[in-house]
Amino acid sequence: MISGRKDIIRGRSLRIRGPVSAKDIVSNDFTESYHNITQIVAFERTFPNFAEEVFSKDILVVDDNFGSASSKELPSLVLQKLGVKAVIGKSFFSGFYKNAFNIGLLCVQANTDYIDDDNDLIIDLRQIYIQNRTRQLGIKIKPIPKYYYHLYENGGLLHALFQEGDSL
Amino acid sequence: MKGTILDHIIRSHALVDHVNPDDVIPISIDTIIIPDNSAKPVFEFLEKEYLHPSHKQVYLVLTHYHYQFESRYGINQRQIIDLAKKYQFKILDNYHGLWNTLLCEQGVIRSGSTVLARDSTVNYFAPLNNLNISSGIHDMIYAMMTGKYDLSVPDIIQVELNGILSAYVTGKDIALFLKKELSSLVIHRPYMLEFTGSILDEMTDQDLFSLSLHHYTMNRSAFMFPPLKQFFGKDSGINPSINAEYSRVFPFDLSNLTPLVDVDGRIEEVMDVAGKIIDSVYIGGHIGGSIDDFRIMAHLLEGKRVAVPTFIIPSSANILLEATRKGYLVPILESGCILKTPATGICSAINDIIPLAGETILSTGYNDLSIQIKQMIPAFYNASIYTCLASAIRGYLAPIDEVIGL
Repeated sequence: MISGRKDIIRGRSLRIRGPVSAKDIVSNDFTESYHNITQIVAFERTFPNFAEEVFSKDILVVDDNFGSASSKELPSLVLQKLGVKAVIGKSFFSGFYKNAFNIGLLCVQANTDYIDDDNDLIIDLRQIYIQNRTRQLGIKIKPIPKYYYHLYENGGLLHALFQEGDSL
Repeated sequence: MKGTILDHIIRSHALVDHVNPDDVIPISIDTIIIPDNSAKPVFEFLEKEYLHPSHKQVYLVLTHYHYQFESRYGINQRQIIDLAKKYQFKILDNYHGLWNTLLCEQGVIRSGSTVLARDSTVNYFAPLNNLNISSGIHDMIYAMMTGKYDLSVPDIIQVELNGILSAYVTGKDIALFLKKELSSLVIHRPYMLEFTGSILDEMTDQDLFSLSLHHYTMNRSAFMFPPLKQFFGKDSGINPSINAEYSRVFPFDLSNLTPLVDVDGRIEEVMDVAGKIIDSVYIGGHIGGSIDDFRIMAHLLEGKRVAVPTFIIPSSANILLEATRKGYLVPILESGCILKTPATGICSAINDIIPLAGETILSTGYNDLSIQIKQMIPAFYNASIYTCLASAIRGYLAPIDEVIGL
């Protein structure tokens, strides 16, 4: 039963190619800026106009091991605050993946070679595929593990806790 | 992963019969550790939701200088301490040393236990034969409320270290060797390295802790050690079963290993890069600040002078006291070394003495200091305490052989 989260997400792709570490998303200057999250400049060094781009392209599309080398949730929080609806990647760093779902940010594993920048995408979690309407392609996605799907549909770990007590 | 140490720990903390990689299993958490720089959002959440954590083993660790604190983290440490008291968290004071060392001194971390911390250095406890988890704040709050953490079960990779170590080859050198060998390991799923082999029993306590901290440089994979004779004797603690199943095995014979140095991320044999000019040396904190390290420093520095500023950071007040009682400090200070407060890690020590542009720093620490001090270090080398001491005496990167017998 879906409780508020969408199983179909439509948006335009913001394509970032190559490895992206947690430090690339939130640089050293901001690694402890939880108290001032709106001041954080995401991708400060590698993609300084990211915040402007993500305004119209709200599905982030990346390659392998996205968000590597940090267990902090600031990178996923910042992406969510900037309006990223979902991240599609070939693979994710485990810490980033868990933290993203902990706050209700959807991460989808798929072959992103078939997605370019500014493509019109529909992520269909029920049919387990991505429709790239720009390139007229269907892309299979790796099924989201039940546990993480549960977090997503409940809006994150702590929301799930409050909604269901200790039954996760 | 059947029969691995992690398998045993998970099954004892989750009350399940079978565990497979990729499973998500709620495990009970024995100890929760919150560094002060992450405390504000935790307390804000608890206050906002009127929650009172039920977990009884929550530690607030004070790790940062007061004068920097409020501007960086939006709250002052007094407020954090007051909140910690309100929620009945246990407090570890940074005046007494590194929190990792303090918890070890107090015997808080037990073999076979589970530790959740909001800090990558939680892996420091891996030699104590337990499961260390570095997590985000949401997982910490969840664990405080429920006592549980939802663990994505990793693949278990065995790293078998055998052979006989040459003189002056330390845990730091082994860590650098493994960094070189394993850093390119790309596995698209979480994994943990379980260590085995005869070398582990040759290593000192400090060597083992040094190695465990270098998980940071190996794709941040978590480490697991068997019960080591240094801590538990061979037969206590959680051992892997005889037929433990690992997803991959990396056997290494370390008999020919020579001292190594990390030169801005490149691992080199010290002999091959000897002669590079060093501007300052930092020894201590997590790696190089133990009582055994003080013994080595006193022995090697006796009757010698350091050629460049050399800063020594004991990793706890108790270690400083013990070093004083044993007479280690006199030869160290007579050599010209500068003693720093035990309350800091190397990163904080460097914060006091901002490196100049173009300077080259050699340290026993691991290689991510530029994150810790919020500025890029122009050139950062790291190596074992022996290489650091030899280089401090010479003023350039030097192998230990150059100063033995001087």
